[in-house]
This record gives sequence, structure tokens and C-alpha cells, in this order.
Amino acid sequence: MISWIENIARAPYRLWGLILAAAIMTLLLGQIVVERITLLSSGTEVRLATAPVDPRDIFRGDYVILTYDISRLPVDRLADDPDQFKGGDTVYVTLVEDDTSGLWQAMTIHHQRPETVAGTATIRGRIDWMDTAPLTPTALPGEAPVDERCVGCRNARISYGIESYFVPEGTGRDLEDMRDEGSVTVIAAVSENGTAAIKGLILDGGDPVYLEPLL
Amino acid sequence: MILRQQYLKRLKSDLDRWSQQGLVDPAKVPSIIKDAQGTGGGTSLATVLAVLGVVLLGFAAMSFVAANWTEMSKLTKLLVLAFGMWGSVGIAAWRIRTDDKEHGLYTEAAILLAVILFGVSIMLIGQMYHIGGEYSDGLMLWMTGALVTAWLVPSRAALVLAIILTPMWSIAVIMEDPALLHWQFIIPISLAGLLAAAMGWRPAAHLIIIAWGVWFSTTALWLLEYLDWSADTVFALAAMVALIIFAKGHIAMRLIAPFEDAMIHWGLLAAMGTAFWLPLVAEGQLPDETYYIWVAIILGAMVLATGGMAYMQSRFAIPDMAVLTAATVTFVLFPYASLALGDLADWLFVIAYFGASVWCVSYGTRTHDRFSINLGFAAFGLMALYVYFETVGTLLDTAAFFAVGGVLLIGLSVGLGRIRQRLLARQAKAEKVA
Repeated sequence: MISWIENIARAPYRLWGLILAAAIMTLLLGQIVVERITLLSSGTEVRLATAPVDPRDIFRGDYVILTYDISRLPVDRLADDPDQFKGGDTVYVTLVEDDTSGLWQAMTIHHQRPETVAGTATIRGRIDWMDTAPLTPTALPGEAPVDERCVGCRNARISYGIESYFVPEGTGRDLEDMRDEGSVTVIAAVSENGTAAIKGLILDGGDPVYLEPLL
Repeated sequence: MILRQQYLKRLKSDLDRWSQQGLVDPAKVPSIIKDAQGTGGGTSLATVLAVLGVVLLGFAAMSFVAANWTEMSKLTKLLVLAFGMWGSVGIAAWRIRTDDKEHGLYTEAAILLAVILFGVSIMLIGQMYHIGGEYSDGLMLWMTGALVTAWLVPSRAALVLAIILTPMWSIAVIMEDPALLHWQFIIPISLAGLLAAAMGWRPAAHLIIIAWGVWFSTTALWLLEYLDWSADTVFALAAMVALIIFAKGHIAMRLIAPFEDAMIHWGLLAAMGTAFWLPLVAEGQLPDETYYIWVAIILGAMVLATGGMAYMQSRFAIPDMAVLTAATVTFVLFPYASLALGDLADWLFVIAYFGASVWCVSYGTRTHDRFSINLGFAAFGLMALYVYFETVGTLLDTAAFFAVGGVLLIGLSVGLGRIRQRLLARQAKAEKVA
């Protein structure tokens, strides 16, 4: 065993090994690109309400963090087994389109992927953490009446892998300004297995301000 | 460079002595010194420059990606990086075909650049398709590419990159989900360790042990933060892991032979370092006694079993085994002793630590290991400083502690001196009889 490994490790350079390693790396890169293109071109298109914030990634440049309405969900209302949800869990959220706004909203949340129903899409996410709504609600002007609020409910903070939107250097602030001027909506593609990818951004329900080419 | 000059100086004096003793042919001494002077220095500067050049090129590629220049289409950017990667592979292939058969400096530099550009391409794809958050997946893929290259070629530069990326992957996973114990780290680091050992390449041993150290630190954080273990239990376990590494460095095994020095030095340093902090971090509580005692017993048994094997192979002497056993028992029981005895346990531990420092110097003297001697003195001095600051304000206590300690050490020194003289006399007598 040891001598066999030593023969591999102490041998002179292997040209075929170098070419094979480079081919494997190229295939791995190609596989990610093809997977993303397939998802973006054939996934169910959903529109999600969001609010961007502008930070910076040391390796990948400027990007905006997108927080969605579906990023924080009350599991007591949406799940059959709300006590079973905890941080780190993989979850599937069923989305349904709101006829008036055209935005997709959460309908149910599950641990296992549910059967697909026509007119719905299921997005996969991971619970970052659970929090509980305050037991004693504050009574600030303009807030919803206390009886309509889910006091003491458990909320799941969920990431779907579509929380970062990379923008050209120095343009992150522009997107924030747009957000301040009106509502920002994300067009996302959701695949059969629940993986989501960002296709573009819309401001105030109009034409897309950013639309991503496939290549 | 200083180390190299010291080595040459030492080699010259050794050669003089050996030639006087008739062990080395005096006529060959100048050629041996010439050979020793001619190796190493020039190559290391060239290596450093080549590696720095590749690192700068890597940063250039990263900045190119980070700028997210929209004038260029996604496909063009991907093709630029792909051509860069395959271009580097081409240069390496050309070097292999022409003259570099193994460990060629420029071949390694070209392979390193290819693997760095593979990582940059992963970042670019993540940026192009807005794949956010999951850094760990990208790092895992990059590490896999580096490890595959290191095995297939075989390449030392790719192996170094794989070893550096492995703990980075672990840190990324834990940052994304602090609830996880990232045991998957063991798989790539073992594969990297196996390759480094089979290559017989000593510098990689240090990097691998540092990578393990980073992983143990993140795992310690997981125990502290997520499982809410007390700091002294975690430090006690860490000290025992360090002792296992130290003891394992003494086992004669062909596979780990290149790692011996690194394991002994890093293991001893980590054991003395974590042990120093043990009384300082003691919180006097045991949040999860059942789990702690089982993990501690298993680790303690591993220390003793490994030490026992080294003793059987005559790599450990009786004093080493005695200190190893005493240290293991102390570490296992310290959290309980701290809970039961309070400050008294800390003071007993301090005395034991002084004893361990003295043993460290003695171990270094016996094995001609300067690192252990220096470590023993440094540990002794640091602990003396700690005692001084801890008892400051009650100078009489400090004076009493040091006075008793000083008398004990002088007594020990006199005793050891006599034993040594007796042993030398016996040895001389035996030689005379023979």
C-alpha cells in the first residue's frame, strides 16, 4: 500500500496527469455554467419583493444583499409541524402568485419537497435561525391591531441562495437609490428541485433595470 | 539565511572534529563544505520570487473578476480565464517535455498559476450568476481541483495550495452554519497528508499540522459556542490532542517519518501553550460532565497508548512516559479539581507546569533538540511571570513561592548532577572492562 502510494508520489512529472487534472477542472467549471444556464432558461419564473443593501465582497467585488418578503416566514401559520423547524434545516417553501400585485408569496413550508401543484412553485432554502415574535407587542401608531398579529409566533429566517446580486464596481449605491425611490422586484428562476437563480431586477413593476444574459 | 549560516558553521566544526577522530577523510572535508555551500541559497531566492510572481498574477486575476467589468461579455471573461488556465498548463507541459522531470521551479509555478486561475474562475461564475453566500461550496471545489492536480501530476505547489484551502473551507462551513461539526475536513487533509508523506516532503508536514491546528481551533469554538462547554474542559481536551501529536511523532513508522520533527515540535508547543492557559480560563463549571469525561478518557487512553508504543520502540525514556502519564491525568481531572479545590487546584497546576517545563529542557538536552530546550525555558519564564503578576500585592507570598521553587530546583539540579556523574563513572568502568 505504502510503496504503491510512494510510486505515485515520487514519480517524475506525468504529462497525462497534468492534462487530465486541467480537463477535470475545466469540466467542473463547465458543469456549473451549464447547470446555471439550464436553470435560468427552463425554471419557473417568479417575481419576489425585495430590499437591497450595498456591501462589498473581497473576492467578487460590489454586490447588493437582497432581503425578500419570503426571507422571514411565520412557521406557525405556514407549517403543519411548526415545532420541528430549527436553524440549519433545509426547507421547501411553496410559492403562489398574488393576482393583483403579480408577486409570489409563501403559502406553505415543509421539510420534504411537496408534490408540485399547478400555479405554484417550490423554492428550496436553509433556515439561518429561528426567532420568536415579541410576547408583548408594542403599540406604535400605524401598526397592525394586536389581535391580527401572531404574538409569540416562531419565525424562520431563511436563505435561498439568491441573496447576493453582483453589480459593476461603484454602482451598488445606484441600486439603493432606486430602492429608495420605489419598490424593487427580483425576477428569479426556480428549477424542479427547488434551486433558485436571479434573472433580473425590476423597479416599480416596470421594465427590468438589470436583465442578465445567459452568457 | 541565518539558520543556513549556523548550519555551515556547525558542519565545519563537526567535520574538523570528525577528521581529527579519523571518522572522515581530511582530504574530503573541503569538498563536503563546498557542496554544502553550493546548495540551497540561490534556489530559495528564485523560488520565493517565482511564487510571489504567481501570487501577484493570481491577485491580478481576482481584481479583474472583482471589478465586474460590464464592457466584456460573460463568455469573453470566462474564455480569458480558461485560456489563462490552459496557457499555464501549456507552459508546465512544455517545461516537462523539455527538461523538468520533477519538482522543477518554473513547472511548479505554472501549475500553481493554473490552479489559482481555476479558483478565480469559480469566483467569476459565482459572480456572473449571482450565486451568493455559499463560499464553502466554492472553496471545496477549488480545494478538490488543487488536490486532484497534486495527486495526478504530482505537484508540490498544488499540494501546498490544497493544504491552505482545506482549513479555509472548514472555516467557511462553520461560519455559514455554526451548528455543524465539520468532520469532512478529515478526508481531504488525510489525502494531502498521505501524499506529502509519500513524497517524503518535510515542509508540507508543518503546513498540514498548522491546518489541523486551525481545524482544532474552529472545533474548539464549536464546543464553546454551540455546545456551551466550559473553556477549561475544551482546553484540557486540546492539550491532550497536542500530546497525542507529540507522542505520535516518536513512533517509528515509515509513512510518518518525514513528519516526525514537525509533529514533535508543534505537538509540544501546542501542549505547553494550551496547558499554560488552562488555569487562566477555568470557569469553575462543568456544563456537560458525561460527554466531557468520555471524550477525555478516550483521548487520555490514546495519549498513553501512543506513548506506550513509543516507549516500546525505545523512543521514549522512563521520565518521558512518567511526565506524559502525569500530564494526561492532570488534564483529564483538572476541570473537576478546579471545581472542587478552587484556587488550590490552580496553584498545584502551576507547580506541575514548572515541573513540565524542567522536563521539557531535560528532554531537549537528551535528544539534542534545541527547540524543546528553548520552549522549556520560555514556558518556565512565562509561568514565573504569571505567578508574579497573580500574586503581586502580596509580595511575601510571591517571595515564598519563588524561594521554595528555587531551593527545590537547585536541589533537583544537584541530585541530577550526581546521578549523571554516577552514570558516567559506571559507563567508563564498563568500557574499561570491555
